[in-house]
Amino acid sequence: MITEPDRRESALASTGQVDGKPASVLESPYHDGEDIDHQNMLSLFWRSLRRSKTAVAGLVIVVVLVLVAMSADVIAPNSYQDPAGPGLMPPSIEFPFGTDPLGRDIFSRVIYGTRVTLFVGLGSIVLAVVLGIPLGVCAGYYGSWFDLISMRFMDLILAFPTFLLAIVIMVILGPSTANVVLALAVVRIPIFARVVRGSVLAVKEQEFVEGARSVSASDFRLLFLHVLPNCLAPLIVSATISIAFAILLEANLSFLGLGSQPPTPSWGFDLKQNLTSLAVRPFNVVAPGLAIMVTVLGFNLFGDGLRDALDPKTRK
Amino acid sequence: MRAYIIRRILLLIPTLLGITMVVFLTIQSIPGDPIEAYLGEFYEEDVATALRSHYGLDRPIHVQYLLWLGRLVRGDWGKEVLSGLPVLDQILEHLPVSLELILGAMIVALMVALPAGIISSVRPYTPSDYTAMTGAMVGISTPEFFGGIVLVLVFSLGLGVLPVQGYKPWSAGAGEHLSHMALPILTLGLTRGAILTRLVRGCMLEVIGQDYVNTARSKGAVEFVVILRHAFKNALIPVVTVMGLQVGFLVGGTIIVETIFSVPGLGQYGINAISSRDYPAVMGFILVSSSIFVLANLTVDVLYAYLNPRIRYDN
Repeated sequence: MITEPDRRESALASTGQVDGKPASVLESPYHDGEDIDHQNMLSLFWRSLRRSKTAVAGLVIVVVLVLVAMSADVIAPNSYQDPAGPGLMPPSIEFPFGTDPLGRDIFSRVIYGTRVTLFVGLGSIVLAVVLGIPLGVCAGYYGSWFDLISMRFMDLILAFPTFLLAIVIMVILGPSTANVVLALAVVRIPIFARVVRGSVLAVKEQEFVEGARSVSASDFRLLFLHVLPNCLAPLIVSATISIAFAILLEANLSFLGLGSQPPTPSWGFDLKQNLTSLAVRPFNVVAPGLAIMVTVLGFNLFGDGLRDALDPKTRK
Repeated sequence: MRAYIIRRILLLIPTLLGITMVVFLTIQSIPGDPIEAYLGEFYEEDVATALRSHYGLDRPIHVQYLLWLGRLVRGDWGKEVLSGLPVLDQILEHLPVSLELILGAMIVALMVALPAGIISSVRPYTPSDYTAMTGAMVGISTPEFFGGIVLVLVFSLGLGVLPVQGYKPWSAGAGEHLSHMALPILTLGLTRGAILTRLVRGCMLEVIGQDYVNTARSKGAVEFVVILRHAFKNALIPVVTVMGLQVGFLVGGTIIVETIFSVPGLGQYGINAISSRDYPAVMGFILVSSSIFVLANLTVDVLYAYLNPRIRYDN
């Protein structure tokens, strides 16, 4: 017979919510309803996230970037497409990052570039998660031939260097923003499928799952209500860090001209375009690169902080 | 352990077959009929049919794959579309430069990561640790091309000590060659070094807290010996494990770095082939690049078996 506290404890343990200290928080859910349970887990999570300065710094960067992307039309002083002044102007008050050889305002292009970057970064990872989770859940839960075949296929994807595979996919699909999302999702699916499969394998033998099965819960209910919530912690962390990784890959692809096509402003492509004027106007060239770095840094810092907040081992 | 190594080497066969399959299907799925493109305005139905049967393009796809695989094994990798030169020869000519880049970057990465990671872990949460970790965080967030450009700004345009780009072979003198390779190698090596530094620190911290390290200390071993002989040796195992993975990133990185610095390696060859739609060359490029990664992973697995006697590979 499975007692309620058992279930809660294992659920909390595998999401990394047990660290002995806030005993009151852990006790209350046993007596209260589901909602309060979730609320407490959330507030506990939020408190340990807030303690990490790096996580807060990362979160601030990410939030600012999202705001910039949403209000690009308002913030950007000039069009990203039409020349706003003479070519290769040095940075000034009018053109904070100068102008490119075609006379376009680099600052405005960087601002509009956040849209493409965030769209590709978030879009590809959401797609990879949406495709990877069911794959990993089914492989881990049902096992047998489906597990074997799908995991061998994942191995095949991982047998290629990631960037090379992304290039191959872009060669097949042809360069465009939507195809970049697709390519980066494909190369990232194995990561999520494996994380989820591993967690499902670990969780499915636990008693609370057996308990749910014994009261004849359906497979679907079992998987999505009992098994999957217990894999969320590693999933959230690897998704956040994957966004950083996807943004780096996107920048590399567009640097090679295999990403978003002009006139869509893309940081990697802009940097490549302006490269010839490196000796004359170094800052104009470097500005989009700095934008990439700050963005990737934001997601990396946030992901690191999340990992520490969710992992009881590293929590202090 | 010998059985394990043999099994691991045998596992190469399906992996490489899988890769050839992906490469073959890639080229198959590119839109456009090669015969139509080849004939252009002289296209006539019966000529096309004759050519298709001549090249075996009218055969079922699995037969085409096997025929192609057979040619591949015999060393016939096709000819470049534009120059007519054999693809395999061209690739073997470009490969050594890329291998040198990868090896050099690996050495730089380890030279940065091992000292930085160990110092960070020995004195965690001190200014030196924070400095190293901030540097590493910035490093892993920097795309290779941006890092390369910053290095050019500092060392070439600023200090003027290294050439901006270009390549000189060994035959032009070791000094000339190495000065041209220095920035590409540094660019790749520093980015990888950043990731490895974090890893070395993490592994060291985990090991340093263990009982046997305290035992070594309590037996009166010098701290230096405790750190290097007892802790570091064991922390090295996970580091070695990810080295194979790092080679994968380095293979991708050479493509970018060779483009920025105009180094005539495999990556540049591949990108040129892609932009000129030279598909036999593209195929060779993908095949060789992914094989480097697969072989690196094999080496790491075998090395791992030697380094970690705690794991038995019996069955």
